[in-house]
Amino acid sequence: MDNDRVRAGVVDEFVLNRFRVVDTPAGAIGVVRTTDGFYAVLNRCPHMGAPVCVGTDLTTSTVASRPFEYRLAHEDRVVRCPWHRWEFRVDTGESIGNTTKARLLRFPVIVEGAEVFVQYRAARGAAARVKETPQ
Amino acid sequence: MNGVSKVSPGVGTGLSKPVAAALSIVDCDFHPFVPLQEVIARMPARARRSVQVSSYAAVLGREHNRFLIPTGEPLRLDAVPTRGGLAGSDPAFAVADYLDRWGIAAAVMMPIQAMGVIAWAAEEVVNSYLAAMNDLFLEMWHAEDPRFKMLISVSPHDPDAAVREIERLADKPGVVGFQIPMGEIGLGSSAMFKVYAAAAHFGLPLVLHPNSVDCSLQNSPSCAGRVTRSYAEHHVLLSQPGQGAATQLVMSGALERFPTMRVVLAEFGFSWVGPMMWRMDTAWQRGGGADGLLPRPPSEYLLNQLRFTTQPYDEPGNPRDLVPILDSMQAHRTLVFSSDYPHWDTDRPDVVLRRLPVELRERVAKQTAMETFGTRLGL
Ligand code: FES
Repeated sequence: MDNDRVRAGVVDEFVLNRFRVVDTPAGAIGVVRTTDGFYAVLNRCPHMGAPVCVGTDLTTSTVASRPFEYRLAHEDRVVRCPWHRWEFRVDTGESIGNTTKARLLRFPVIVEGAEVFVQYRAARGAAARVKETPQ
Repeated sequence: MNGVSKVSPGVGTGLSKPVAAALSIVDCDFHPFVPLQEVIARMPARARRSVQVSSYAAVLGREHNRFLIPTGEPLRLDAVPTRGGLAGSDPAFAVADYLDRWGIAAAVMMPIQAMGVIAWAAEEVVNSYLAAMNDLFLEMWHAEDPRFKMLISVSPHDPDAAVREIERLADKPGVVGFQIPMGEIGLGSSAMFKVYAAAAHFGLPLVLHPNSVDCSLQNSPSCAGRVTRSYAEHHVLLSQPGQGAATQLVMSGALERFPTMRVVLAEFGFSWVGPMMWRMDTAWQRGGGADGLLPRPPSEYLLNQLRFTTQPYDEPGNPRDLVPILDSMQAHRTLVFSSDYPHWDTDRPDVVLRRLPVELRERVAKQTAMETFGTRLGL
């Protein structure tokens, strides 16, 4: 299965919660180390296709609460798009706050010793699709 | 700002190759920065003393009633230049990250840093600040790449100074139009006519754009419902200053008086244009005050002389819902592409163009802009 995976670096090269973006035959994929392991998502926002892993680390969000109340949630598991700031869970790919039904496309990450690989053929989740006006 | 390891932000990060490259694009709303310290250093000593660069060195003249941006940062986080600084502050980076990536044949530069002058009272300070900034945009951006096209920023307070600045720069290579920061000016006021006459003489379209404190600051265009409390309210209501400008320009007779003048309304939305045009025609038919000024129906002036930009593109759940709206504004004549790069609410060129009905794409991407700005675009 070596042909189906791309090396993303060695474990120590990964800054906690910061994506490394690697080119694969399936497109650019962002790989990130968190306190509960590695995750990988396609570097493409389901909204307009922005490079969703670039410009911001995994972050924390707020959940719906009353006006002028702020409740933090999803600690360090939030991918926030650098353009319109839609937010997604890095582990499930799901939209936070129900912004969209589309998910980030996720990929399995394999750690062998100190080496980190992403399996680019094993995508999970809804592909990023751009709505087009039907003719 | 947090970065990403391995690749430099923005460039080469797996954005797909430009699907729209087959269409070469004119972007009618692109936002670069120049270093404000450099602008101020070029001002006469007396004027320089009254200008302070605030901690947020990109834009002057903001006040605390301005909405807070919930995103914390009004710029695209992936468009930070490799060597640092604000997104939109490095011409060479913008060439690679934007012009080359999307096949942009011309990017019309709208200088947000000029907008702060709406709140300044000292006219000579405004005039020298804008003149220094205009020079710097030509030297720093147009000289870096001739695809960066220049709008001359002129004073909203002093029509004579505005005329002088237009005369000073109109024939410089790269100049395609002029812009007036919108404060409390009546665009249909006779005080503006000498500015329009100068622009008509040189064939310079006027481009209008939100000043970034609309609806939230004294001297700024106001909105119904008064001062906006949040960024979301502000963003939704951005259409109102545009509606006011369009109505004044048409109904006052300003466009009738200057039939060669073209006005681009950038970033005010467009889905309101058709119905507003119907209202203007209805008011005109009923002699609602405009009949003495306008020999022809208002819609004729609007369709011939006003243009509207795509960004922020309206996103109904079903993209087809926009089709009758585009028809109502005769979008093949009136709609021009804009990205708002590098602002956070940017629209991606290929996505927006693909959402348009196929027969509109080339018109919106380039043709209508070429007709509006003419040979000055050099395309
Ligand atoms: S492109 Fe990601 S939120 Fe719009």
